[in-house]
Parts: sequence; structure tokens; C-alpha cells
Amino acid sequence: MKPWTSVAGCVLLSSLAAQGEEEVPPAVRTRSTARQPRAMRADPRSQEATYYRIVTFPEDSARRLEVSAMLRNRDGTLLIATRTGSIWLLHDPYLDDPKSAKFTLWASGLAQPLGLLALDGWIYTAQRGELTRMKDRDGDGRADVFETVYDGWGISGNYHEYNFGPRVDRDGKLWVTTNKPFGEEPLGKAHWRGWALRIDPATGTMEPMCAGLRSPAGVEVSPWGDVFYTDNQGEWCNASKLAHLEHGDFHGHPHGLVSKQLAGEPFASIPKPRSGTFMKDLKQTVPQFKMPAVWFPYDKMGKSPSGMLWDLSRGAFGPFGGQLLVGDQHHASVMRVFLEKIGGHWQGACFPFREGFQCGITRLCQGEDGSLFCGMTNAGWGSKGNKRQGLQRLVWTREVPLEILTMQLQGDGFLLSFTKPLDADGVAAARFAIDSYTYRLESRYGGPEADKRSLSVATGALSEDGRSLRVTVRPLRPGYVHELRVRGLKARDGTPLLHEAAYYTLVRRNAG
Amino acid sequence: MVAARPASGGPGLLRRGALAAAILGALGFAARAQHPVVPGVERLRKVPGSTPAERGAVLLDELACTACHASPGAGQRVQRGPDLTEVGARVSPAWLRRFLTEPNRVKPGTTMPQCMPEEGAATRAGHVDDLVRYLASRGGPLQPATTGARAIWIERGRELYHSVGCVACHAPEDGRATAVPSIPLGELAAKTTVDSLAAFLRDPQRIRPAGRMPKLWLEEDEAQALAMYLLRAQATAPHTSGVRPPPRAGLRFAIHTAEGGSLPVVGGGGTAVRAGVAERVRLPEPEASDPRALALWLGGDLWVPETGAYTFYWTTEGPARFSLDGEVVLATDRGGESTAQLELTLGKHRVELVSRHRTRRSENRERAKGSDGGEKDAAGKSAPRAKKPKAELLRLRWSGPGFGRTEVANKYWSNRLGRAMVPVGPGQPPEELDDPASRERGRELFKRLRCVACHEPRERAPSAADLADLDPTAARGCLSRTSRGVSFGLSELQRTELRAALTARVWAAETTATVRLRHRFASFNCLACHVRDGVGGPDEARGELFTTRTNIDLGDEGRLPPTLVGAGDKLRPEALQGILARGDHHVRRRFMNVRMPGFPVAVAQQITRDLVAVDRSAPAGAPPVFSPETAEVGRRLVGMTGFACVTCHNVNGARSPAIQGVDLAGAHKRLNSDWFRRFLRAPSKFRDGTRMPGYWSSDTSLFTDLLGGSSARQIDAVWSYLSLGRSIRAPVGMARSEGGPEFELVPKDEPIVHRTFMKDVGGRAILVGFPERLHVAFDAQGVWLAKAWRGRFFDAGGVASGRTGKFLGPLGGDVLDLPGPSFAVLPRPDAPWPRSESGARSAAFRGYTLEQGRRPVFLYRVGSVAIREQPLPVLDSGGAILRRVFELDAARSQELQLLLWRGGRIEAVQGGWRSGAVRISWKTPAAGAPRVCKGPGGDELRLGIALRGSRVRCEVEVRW
Repeated sequence: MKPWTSVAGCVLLSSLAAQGEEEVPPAVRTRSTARQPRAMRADPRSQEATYYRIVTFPEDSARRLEVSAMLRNRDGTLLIATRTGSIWLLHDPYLDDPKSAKFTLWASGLAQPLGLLALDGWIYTAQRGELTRMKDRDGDGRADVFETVYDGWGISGNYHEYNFGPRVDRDGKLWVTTNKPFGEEPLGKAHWRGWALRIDPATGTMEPMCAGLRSPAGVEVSPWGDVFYTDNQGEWCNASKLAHLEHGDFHGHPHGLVSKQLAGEPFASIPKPRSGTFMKDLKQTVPQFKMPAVWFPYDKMGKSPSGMLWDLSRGAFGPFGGQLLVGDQHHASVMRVFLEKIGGHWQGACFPFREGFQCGITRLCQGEDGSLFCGMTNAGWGSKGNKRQGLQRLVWTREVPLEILTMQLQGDGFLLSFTKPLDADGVAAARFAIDSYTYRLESRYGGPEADKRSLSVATGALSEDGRSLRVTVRPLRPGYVHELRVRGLKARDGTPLLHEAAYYTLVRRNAG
Repeated sequence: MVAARPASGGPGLLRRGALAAAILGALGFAARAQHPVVPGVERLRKVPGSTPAERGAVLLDELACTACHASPGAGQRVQRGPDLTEVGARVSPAWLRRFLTEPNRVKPGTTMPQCMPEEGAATRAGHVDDLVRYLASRGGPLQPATTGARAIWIERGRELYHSVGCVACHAPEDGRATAVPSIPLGELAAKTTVDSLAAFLRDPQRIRPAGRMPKLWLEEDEAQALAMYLLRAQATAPHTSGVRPPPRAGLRFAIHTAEGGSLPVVGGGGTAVRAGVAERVRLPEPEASDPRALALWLGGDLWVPETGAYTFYWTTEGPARFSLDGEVVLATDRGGESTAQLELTLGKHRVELVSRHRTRRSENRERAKGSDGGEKDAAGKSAPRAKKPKAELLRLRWSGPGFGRTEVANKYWSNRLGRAMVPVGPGQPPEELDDPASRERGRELFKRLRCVACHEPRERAPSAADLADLDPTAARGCLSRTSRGVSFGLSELQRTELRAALTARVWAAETTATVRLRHRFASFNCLACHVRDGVGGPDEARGELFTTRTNIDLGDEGRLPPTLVGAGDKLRPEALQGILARGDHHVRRRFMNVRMPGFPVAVAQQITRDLVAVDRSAPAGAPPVFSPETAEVGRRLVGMTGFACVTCHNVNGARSPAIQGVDLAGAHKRLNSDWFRRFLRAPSKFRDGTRMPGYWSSDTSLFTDLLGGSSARQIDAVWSYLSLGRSIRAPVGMARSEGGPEFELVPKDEPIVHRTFMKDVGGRAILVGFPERLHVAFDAQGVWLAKAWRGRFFDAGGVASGRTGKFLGPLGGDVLDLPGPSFAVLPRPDAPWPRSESGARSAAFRGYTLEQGRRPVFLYRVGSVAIREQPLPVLDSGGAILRRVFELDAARSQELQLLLWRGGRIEAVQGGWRSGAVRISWKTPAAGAPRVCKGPGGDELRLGIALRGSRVRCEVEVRW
């Protein structure tokens, strides 16, 4: 009987692809044009493992670790929330062989807690229905107080109305990002869907911060205090992105504009964007529109960016200290982002970092030893990997890979810095290519790379220490992704460049 | 308009009748006169001590003598004829005419008498014609047949007829000889249509209110199948060949077992396990009974909208065959998509699709295996397969003139498969029935011949002599061989019995409950299935047709209805009545194929009263006093930790590991507690050959450590445990309930708090499942306790599996919807209660804390009043009740209203209030008495709570 299924399966896939059905999950959307990024033709997984190894926590049927949030406690333990509403306490997170790792149940029965935050003796989480804070009052190792901090956002009964966070900013206020619904709304249209909200934990008052979010699966406060979020591509968010959240921003999705009158100015005057406008030009008609910091080109850099964090391990996790690491829920991968502020706008480049996890990654959490806990679930969507959920830890082997560390915008191109000194002969022999493309803001689901153009590249001189290289690009195109592909670059010690692609989203030109 | 009528021209009614007789003769209908069959009387003759007069009294009822001959004792329960007000809609005029001419020949053994025994043939025929025209006009014409004959339905009907209990009274149709005569069915195939008979079978008492034909609780499809079986001669009668039933939308489907690997014959065979109508080409929803590998047969007419070239794209899973107008146009052995290009003409084309499939069940199993084995594979490629929707395993799309590839929509499909099932024999041209003068004469005759006496009891019939004035020895009259009034064709024995009854003046005699019961059991043929006083039960030939479902090993207890010895002692009166009239408490339904039928309520009341009077000798004594502690001892005793009752018994839907006998959870509602005590001491005294062991036959139990080893106290403990009803907690050693959902939440040692979407509660529901098996749902949006229920808790799959957007209801039962919002500040105590659905929130939800035993206390504020509400289950006999404990803190003096209940009529009763089955009691030292206010949704029970700056505590108990 086996052959039937496989035959039917093939038919299914091809017909799905041909049909373009309305409700296509972001993570499994198959495009007929989908292809592997050219720069990654050699299977990098085995090479990645040389530098970053994966430690897998074994599955346990009694404990379905569909990780939806993680929090490092001061005592060395880890709190792990699950999509199905439990919070587990992992007592010994750092075992090299985690078979014997001890988990105890800290809380249960929550509605999709998609964030964990410790503040003033409370543990905060955003649930489906409310922002909650919890406490283990009697010290028996289980939470017994569940207080409602804020429950003013609406619920339409649609599955897609997730809430992410909270994260605390420098004013002590809590940020929550809310998903907009996708499909039927059994309880009627709800307010504050697709918004970034800021809530005062002391008073429970809410301040609407940004509109136009679609599926903002990650929200994080940067080490310097600015708040960023990741958004999943779909309708009106036609490429996945990282964006800076500032009061008054509109990020493109018109769904949440039903609440704009409640929000007052500057939101009340946001017009509904016209479908098909290039995002780079949208500010002309929608002044509140905020361009992203980084676009994650579809399938090249994941499909569904989720949780993120800044590597604050001061080198314990390798040479990328201070950079942003972003999980992807479809590609079961972690990406790396370099940011710089140009002309008042945060922008930068994203790079492949590590793939080959067992399931789509929803959340990241950095351990006290710098290692990276990766929490996963693909329930409802599916992802790469051979498991439906789980917890894995990414540990630096202390081997330094050759990677593009940063990609800084210059007046005439980019300055690339590397993790290791480059071999000067290699630089001469290497080939560099840059493609540029941008995206429209459209009502359709997802969107192609538009107005594509190859740019001319020339390499400059290698710096004395061998770690920096200028590339001149002509012309630089503001509003476009600059996709850099490098072949044949080597370090002085002979290591080849591990990931040969970088994607710089150029929004503003460098004044210089 | 009669549905189908042969093209032959119209000779007169009489000629037509002869033709009908010839056809019916050819079909093999028996036509032998017989005395009226009253099986109960036949059986009563064997009862020791039964007198001819007693049997005559039953016959007076069953032959409806009292319809014409008034008697003081005749009550409403006596037999009467069927209600004929709509007879024209369901009975063929041709059959009516034959029947009225010679009732006992068309339906040998009928209790319908010949009403014109003295008339000559010609006069009688004229009268019959008039009566037929009159009756056919009542509700007529006969409703056209809408059903096409299908072999598998007929087969299913055959199985039902021979298993659910029809053959207890009627003759088995497999040729076996029965010892007790059967109630005749008459020439049903000539009489009526499938739809009409099916409607009758579902609710016989609508047409036969006397209840001699009881209700077998047939589902709609069962009644259809049974009717199709009973009328099966219509499917093969020569005159229906070529006649098709009118088309219905959709395709017919049949699921066949296909373990062998071959495709079933096109058209479907007799091995189908399931059949029905499908909207379009797709796999029907799987059912538990489906085989692992199945063959699906789909058939119907495809409407081709335009002549031209069409291409069909057919996706299948395995071997499959597609025929169009009887020719195979596509055949595949491997599945996948195949295409066929065809030139088709405008109009209907007959399509049959046969395909092999594996069901979800087998597929899931294999997938589970596959994923285990696949762990070593490189990460990456397996995910999309797991999401394969079932519909894709079978799909038919087409393209044609002017349209591209698209699914064949529902509107193009119709079906009228099989031959039309219309009454055999000739139809009646409507113009022949349309004779107003004759019809009027028929109406007169209907009265004059006293038809109304039986068929329209509300009409006043011309009176005949009172029973008391009849001469039992008269040479002329109903009892004579040459009947003058009406002729029943009585047997000599029946005459003797009737004469004895008249002589003894049975209607005037003092009766006892015992005599009345015997009478009733004979009238309603109870002893056809049950044994009482050594008499009754199915005869040998019928007995073989009483079977157990799914081969459960329970011996005769698993297949034969229980004895009625001591039934009034064993069963509580409410339960007896429920069993007799409503189909409640059918504890054996799970494993016994035969069904306890339903009788009219009045009959159920009479039988119950008399059974209790006869059987219930000993005074009941006080029932066991309930306490949660003794109930827990009972649980230990019932489980594998004790006498392991669960080896054989199910408990509240949880399955016994072995033979799954009667579910114990309903016992307290069904049984008298004193009987239970006596029964458990010596089960075999109550039931011959029972497999139930007597664990407590001596005064000291084998479990000496429980309740001092006292058998009596342990039995009471078991009773206390069972009295928890749906709140019962499964005993140790019980398998989980069958087919529970993957994400079912089962509270075990502590409550489960679960925030979720919930049907009728909303997107902010907080559920609490208690181990006491009483559960509540708090609506954190409306801010009140919205629901309580008992039994199983909740399926978290709605928010845990897949994309999680489902609103599911409780898994358990006894669902109670509480009114809300609970609290309001009102300008005056009887002001309208704030509406909950307006969206405005009258309270602010503040969260919850887990207190003693991790039982939650909900926190909310109404205005400036801080409220803590703790819902608690309190175990009690009859199931856990809900206690709501409120604590209110207000900074300033004010009054708050608490809505205790809403709905219907609320009345004060001992210790509280009652609204239907719900009882509310309440205690708080600080507040006044509740008051009942009229509200738009019924009465509202409100309690004003005065707050004076200090904490007020208030408790409300809801029992339902």
C-alpha cells in the first residue's frame, strides 16, 4: 500500500502549488520559483557543526515541549513556556548529556503564553486573552497567583490572534505585539490587533505605540534601549522583516487601522495604503509608514522569523558579540543580523548563521555560559526538521569560523569586516556579486523580489590586519536589498568563508 | 398524483382489483383466512391460574369490543384502530379496497373485522368503492415514492428486522417456524411507500395511539432501511421495472470492505458496511466502524451542460475505476491523477466511481511508524506530508467547453439510483377516485358501519348495546358463527373466552394489581421478550434471533432481555416509567441488539404503579447516608484494589478491561437502594444463571480493613460511590474511555485550570476541572462563572492541535448555564439586569489565585467592590453539586445585587428555590432574603448584599 500514498502525496504537493489557495501558511508556502540560495550550494550544515554544536534535550511524552517562551532565572534554572500553556522549570540546563535533565511543572493552563519576563519579583507573560503576571507565593516551586495586568485588547476568536511579549523598556513599561487575525472572526472584529502596545505594569494602562503589524512573532529591547520586532511575510507585509518600533509608526498592514480612532493621533490620520506601492515610496502617501531595518528575503533567509536576542555573552558565544540572532520557525535555523544607524534610521544586514535544528525555532534564550537555547514548535504549520517540537542548545565549540562579521554602508559601497584575517591572494581570486531588489506593499500573500538589478562591484584594498575589505558598488540603491554573494574567499589559516551571502537592506544613504 | 402507474388503460375498479389479486398472487402473497391473532392471550392460556374469563377480558380490549359496546371499565388504553385522518397520504387505494373487501384474507390474523358480513358481494363492492374514495381523499393522494431500491439498504433492513426486536411479535422472515403466532404485517408491499412506512416506524403511536405497536427508537436511516426491507417486493415487482425514483441532489455512496484487494462490482454488492448520499466526489467522513482498507462506490447522474469535449482529472489513492454510461472510461491500479478525454452530449450521464482507500485510522498508524523510523534521516523534507488533507485522496475535476479545470460542483450531481419503490399492484387513476357523490356516501358509511368507533374515537359512533346487556349465548351477533354485526372470524377458543368474560361480567369485577398486570402484559405482549412468573420469553425459534452486539461474552444475560420477576422491587418508579415510555435507563443498549421499545406514557404509568404494588413488599428502609469518605471506600471496592467489579462493568463511560457489562454509573437513578443491598448479598437469588458473583454473601467481607469488614457497610459504601452519577471518578484499573481525544484533560489528584476558547463562553474562558468530576467555566470577558458540568472535563485539542482556533463545548454532560453578569449595581433592586452581550464589561477581571488544594479563587472588581469567588464541587448523592463562595470587600457602604439564577419559573421550596430541575440554596449572615424579579429571560432570583465597609461572605449552592 505504501506506493499509493507517495503517489498521492506528489499529486497533492503539485496541486497545492498550482492552486495558490487562499489560506496558505507562511511557513510551508511553496512557490514554484522556490530555489536554494546559490551561495549555499555546498551543504554548510556539517561545516557549521564544526563551530556550533547542537545539544538536544530528549523528547518526553509527558512533557510536550512546544516552546513558546524561555527565561533565564538568576539561580541558573530556566523557565520554559509551551504553546499548550504550561511553564516548566528546567533545573539543570547546561548538562552536556541532557537525558537526565530535571523538569518540574511551574504553571499550567495558560492560553498560549508567548513571552516570559522577570520583573520586580513577578513573571510576566502575554497570553491570548491578557497580559498576566505570576508568582510562586508559597515557595513550593509552582505558581499560585495569576494576576491580570491588562486585558484590553480584543479577541475575535480567530486562531491567528497571538500576542507576543512582554519586554520591558528603559522606562519600566511593557511592550506587547499583537497578531492580526487570518480568516474567520467568530466573535466579530476586535480592537488592537496588529499593534505594538506599551503597558504600565503599575497601573495597567495601555499606550498604543505602533500600528500596521502583521504577525510580529518576536519583540525585543535592544541593549541601547530601542525596541525592535520581527514580522512574518504575508498580505500587506510582503517580505519578512526586522523593524524598529517607535511611537507613531505604521508598519504597513491596514487591518489594525479599525482601532486608529481609539488610538488618536498620529494614528487617526493614517490612510489605508494603496496596494502595489513600492514600500520605499510609501512614505509619500502614508507619512507614518516605517521602513524595516532588515528584510529577510523569502526562503533565502528563512520564511518565518520569530524570537530574537542580542548576543550579550561578551565572546562566550563566539565572535559575534553584540549582534542580533533571529530564529526562523520554518527553516529551523538561526540567522544573524548586523545593525547600524544611518541618517537616523536603523538598518543593516542579515547573514545565515546555523541551520539543521530538529524543528522550526520559535524562541531563543541565551544561557549564562553564552550558549543559545533554541525552543521549537511547528504545530499548525510544519517546518524543516524531523520533530514537531523540542528544545536544543547551540554551543560554541571555540573554533572561530570565517564569516562576514559586519557589512557597513559607505558612501560608495560597503565595508566588510571578517572574523579572521583574510588571505590576500584569496581576495584577489574571489568573486563578488551584488543583486538588488525591493518589495511592494500589496494585499496579496507574500510578494516577489521586485525591480531586480545586478550592480557592479569592485573590491578595494584589504586592510592591514586583513580583517576589513571595502567593496565599491555602483549604483547604491536606497530602498533596496543588496544581496552580496562571495565565492572563493579564504582566511589566512586556509578556512573557507562559511556563509557566502549577506543581505543588506539599504534604506538611507550614508551622508558621507 | 400516484407516483407510478402502468400505461395500461383504465378498466373499472373491480377489474382492476382482479388484476391486483393476480399480481399479488404471482408475487407469492399468502391469502389464507385466520382468526385474529392476540399473542398475549395465546400465552396467557399457559399461565397457571389464568381463567377463560380473564383471557376474554383481554380479548374484549384487544378486539376493541368496547369501542362499540360501552362498558364502565373501559379506559383509554384499550385497543383501537389506526388513526385514518391522513390515510390517503400513506395507503394505496387499491390495497385499501382489497383490504376492506376481505380484511382477513389480505391480512390473515388481523383484528380488523369484516364490517359488512351480511351484504351481498355486489353491495359490498359498492360500499367498498365509496369507502375507498372517502378514505383516499383524506390526506391523499398517496405521496410519490422518493426512494430508489438499494440492495445494501434492504440487507441492512433485514438485519434490523431480525435483531432489534420486530420478530418478538412479528414473524421472522427467514422461514423459521415459531411456536407463538405472529402479528400479521399484511401485504405491506402493496399498501404503502418506503418514506411513509419509515415515518410510521419511527413514531408508530402517531398513527396507532393505543401503543400496541411500540416505538423502537429507530434512527432515521434505520427506519428507512427497515421500511425498504419490509417493502422489498416493490424492488423486484415486474410493474416497477423501468420506473425511476425522482432525482435527488448529490451522489450515492457505499463503503465496502476491501481487505482482499479487489474492487467491488460496479453498482455495489451486499457487503457494504455503510451507505449514504455524498455532496460531491470525496471520501466520506470516516467512522469508527469503517474497515481499515475500504472500497468506495460513488454513483449518480452527471449533468453535462453543453455538448462538447470534456476532460476528467481524477485523483485517487489506489486502484480505481470510473465508468460513464456503463462503460469504463478510466481505470488505474496505482492511484495518482489520471485523465480521460470524452465527447459528451448535453444532458444526464450515469457515472460510477469505484476506488480503494486506506482509512485515516490505518494511515495514522503507519505514519506513526514511519516517523519513528525516519528520525535518522537528514533533517528537512518530511514535514509537508504529514499535513495531507483527506479530501485530496479522492478528487474529480473536469474541464470542458468554455471552462478550465475545476472540481465537479455539487449542482451537476444527482442520483435516483435503483428502481422506484412504489406499491405493487395497480395505481389508482385520480380521476376514478374523484367522485364526490361516492365520496360522500363513503363518509356516511364510515359512520353507519361504526368505523368511527375504532378509527375516530373522538367522533360519536352510533351506539350498540352495552356490554352488560349482551347475551353471551345469542345465536346471532359478533360471537355467533354467522356474525350479524361485524365478523372477526373468531376461533372457537376465543368465542368461549369472550363468552366467559361476558358471563363473569369482568368489567364489574374487582381487580387486583396482579390481575391488571397480567392483563397489561398480555395486551402489550411484554412476555414476548420478558419472563415473569415462569411464563414468557421468546420461543425457541425467535430466541435464536436475540443476539449480543460485537460478540461480548455475557452469555444469555448479554442477549436476552431481563426477567420481570421483582422488577417493581428492583427499579425505582421513575426509572421504570422512563424505561417503558422514554427509552431512558437502557443500560443494556450497549451490548444487546434487541431494544426495549417505548409505550404510551399512560401505559407506562399504569404498569409502573401495578409492578410496584405487586413486587415491592418490604419497606425500603433508610437509604445509605452519603459521605465523600465512604464513597471513596466504595471506589476502592469497585476497582482493581477491591472486588474488581470493573473487570466486567463499565463505569461512566470508562471501559472495563474485559467484558464491558452494564455501566454502573447510572445505578443509583435506576435501582432501589434496599434492593441493591439485598442483591449484592446474593445475586443468583435474583437472577438465574447470572455471572455476577456474590462477594458479600457472609456478614464479614474479604476486605476486613475497610469499614470494619462489615459487608453491609461496604455495600452501602459502594452505593454511595455509585450515587455520584456523572461526577463519579473512575475506579482503579479502568481503561480510559474509548476513543478519547488526544488532548483530553483529565483531572486526577488536583484541579486543572485551563484557559481556552470555549463554545458559548468565548475567547477568554478559564476552565476548572475538578477531580470530583464537576467542572466550571469562568468567562473572564463577561466576568462571571458561566458554566458547570459533570463527567468528563474538556478536550484541549481546540486550542492545542493544529491552528487552535476551535470553540469546543464540555466533554461531559449535565451542563448548567449560569446567568450573568453575576453582580450589578442597580438603581433599585428590581431594575433590569445589565445585559451581558452588549460588550460593555460591568466588572474588571483581576486574575485568580490557587488556594488550598490548588483550587482557584477568581478575583474581580465591580465598581469599587473587590470580589473573590471560589467555585467548589461538593460531592453528594446524585452527583457533585456546585458551591460558590463569595467574599466581598468594599471601602464604602453600598448595596450590590447578586444574580443567583435566571429562567423559567422560580419558586420557593424547602431550604431554597427551585427552577425546573435546578435547586438553589444560599446562606449569608449579612444580607437580606433573595427576591424573584421578572426578567426578559424568565424569572430572576436576586440577592441584595449590603456592604458596610467590612468583608461579607456569602455561599450559594446549585444542585441540578
